[in-house]
Amino acid sequence: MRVLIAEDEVKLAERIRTALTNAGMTADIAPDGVEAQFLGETEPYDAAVLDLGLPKIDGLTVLEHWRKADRKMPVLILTARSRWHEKLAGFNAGADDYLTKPFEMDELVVRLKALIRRSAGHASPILECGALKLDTNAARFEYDGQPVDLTAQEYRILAFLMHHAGRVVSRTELMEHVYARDADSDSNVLDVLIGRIRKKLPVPMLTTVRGQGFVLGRPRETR
Amino acid sequence: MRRVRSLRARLLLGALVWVACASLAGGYALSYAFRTAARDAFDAQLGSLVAVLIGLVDLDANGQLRLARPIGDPHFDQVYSGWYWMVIGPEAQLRSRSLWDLELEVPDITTTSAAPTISTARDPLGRELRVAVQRAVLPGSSAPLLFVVTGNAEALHVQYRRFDTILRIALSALGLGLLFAVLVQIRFGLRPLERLVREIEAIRSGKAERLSELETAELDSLVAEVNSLIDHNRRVVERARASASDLAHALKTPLAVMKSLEREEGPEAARERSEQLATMERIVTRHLARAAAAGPGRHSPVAITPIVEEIARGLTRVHADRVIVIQNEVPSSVNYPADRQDLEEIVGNLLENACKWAKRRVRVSGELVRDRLVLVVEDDGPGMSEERARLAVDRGVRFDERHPGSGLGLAIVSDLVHVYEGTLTLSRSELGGVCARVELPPPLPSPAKRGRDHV
Repeated sequence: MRVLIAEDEVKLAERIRTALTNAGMTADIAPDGVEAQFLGETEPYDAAVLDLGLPKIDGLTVLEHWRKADRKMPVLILTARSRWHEKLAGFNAGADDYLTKPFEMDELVVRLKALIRRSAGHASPILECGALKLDTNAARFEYDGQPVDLTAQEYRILAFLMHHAGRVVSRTELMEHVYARDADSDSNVLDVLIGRIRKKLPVPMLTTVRGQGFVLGRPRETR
Repeated sequence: MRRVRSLRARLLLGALVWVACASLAGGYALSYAFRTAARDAFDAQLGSLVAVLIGLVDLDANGQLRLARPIGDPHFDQVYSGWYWMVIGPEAQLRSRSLWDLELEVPDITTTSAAPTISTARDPLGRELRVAVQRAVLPGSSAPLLFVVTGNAEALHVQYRRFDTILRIALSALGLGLLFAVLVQIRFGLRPLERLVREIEAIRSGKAERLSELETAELDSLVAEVNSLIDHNRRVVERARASASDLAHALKTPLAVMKSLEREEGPEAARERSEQLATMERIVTRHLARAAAAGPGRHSPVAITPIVEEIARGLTRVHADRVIVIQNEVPSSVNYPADRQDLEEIVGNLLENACKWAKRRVRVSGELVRDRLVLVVEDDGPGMSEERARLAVDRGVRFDERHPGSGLGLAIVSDLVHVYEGTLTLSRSELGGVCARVELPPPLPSPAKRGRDHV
């Protein structure tokens, strides 16, 4: 899961990034409105954390631009102002949730996970694909009640496939959602990681569709 | 055109334009009337001279024209005076001495009439003349004679000029007098304004608290408005001052605890520190909410239903995975004159709290009871004990750690409602959960009306 953090406070942005990485996500940081708008419109994020008080272009305007450009990722707005007036403006611009500063980092992570889950069409925090279960809050995979031991990178790949279980996810899409923008991504590494995940899963449920990508579980009709 | 800035200059300019126009128009009218009257008198004089001339002329024994006796007026003996007379017969004519060798062109009159015909002409010397001509038949003669008397129109022009000079002087004096009167009037009329300025200066320099009644009908409402503004500002400042000192005092306790823990280590101290941090956060949030409130004053009525709708939409999105139904039962006719953001804050916090606890349902109802706004938000959650309800409304005591920020919303609503001199009561709802009831008092009457009540 790849998240955009649009926050001008460097320390806070870094802390959010650390928290998200620990929760098995990758994150890019945009320190101002211009950058945030550009990244949000060009990169495929699964969610965004948007500070309303961004320099250059304010957060609300950025959000409006994203929605106008038909970017539908869930957006959680951060605001130092706790008035409902601000929150309403955020919702009207297309926000999905809000947090007022100061906030608990855990709260942010939980809310963000819920947003990502919901936007992928899952209502429950536990995602299931056959006997494979993902507890999104705990960031833990289980197969038939037995924990699946994954490295952070493996977790990120499997979690994304889990959110889109049954759908063929292309190699590019997977790379885009699993690696941060400045990460040195190598297609061969992905193959190696996929191979390792396969070995850790008791049954062969992660299949490669030649020339198209990967699919977790039984392929279903595209929506 | 540049805009005229001064009220006095505006009034004066207006008066100037109008006095100038009136003087010019009046001057022209008077001058015209005088000219007409003077010329008529002149013409009447010429007419009577013609009559005299007709009476003086007769025929002698030879049938020749002659003047029975001189006409008497010395002008007619003065050469080229412009005052001439002539009697023109078919063969002969009589002329005044003043005419000397001049030939006058006389308008040809073919009909006899009782009164002379009068016109303007010039003699060969270029003098402007008024000419009276009458055709008459003398007794004892069959041929009609033409009787001509001319007068020097220069005399008329002299009169005209003299009159115009007098007129100009008189009108100028009148205009200046009027302008002066206007000046005095403006000074007098604007005196309450000057007093107003002085009073406002006095307020700014702290010598006065508010404006006194001027007892000037046009300014009374202004004075009332300014006074209500001053009162409002004073209330805001007092609230801000109280809030700032409250905040500082409230922060001192957790700060003191933190300070005492400065050198301590271990999980106990860490837990205590984070508790104190949470307390400080709550204090700051509450004070911010209170500081941001606009409070009562003169607001236009705000409809409640759209606010509930908008907030419900947002909260439904936030709680998307819990399927909470927010029923908005506030009639669209319910509106209340308050700051819109304050109302949003009240409704938002109540609804947010209700959604946090609700299992499936939140109900919002509202009505106006004799201008009092009654707003009720209920949920079907677990509800709270009387003790908790009292604490929530009272000082926003933190009574549940599992829901971050819970109770704070109700405390903020309680503060805001207090600012509007209203009440917040918590009770058990028939839905099972909490029933939060906000009552806001009828809005203040307008200050203009109050101002008049004082008088």
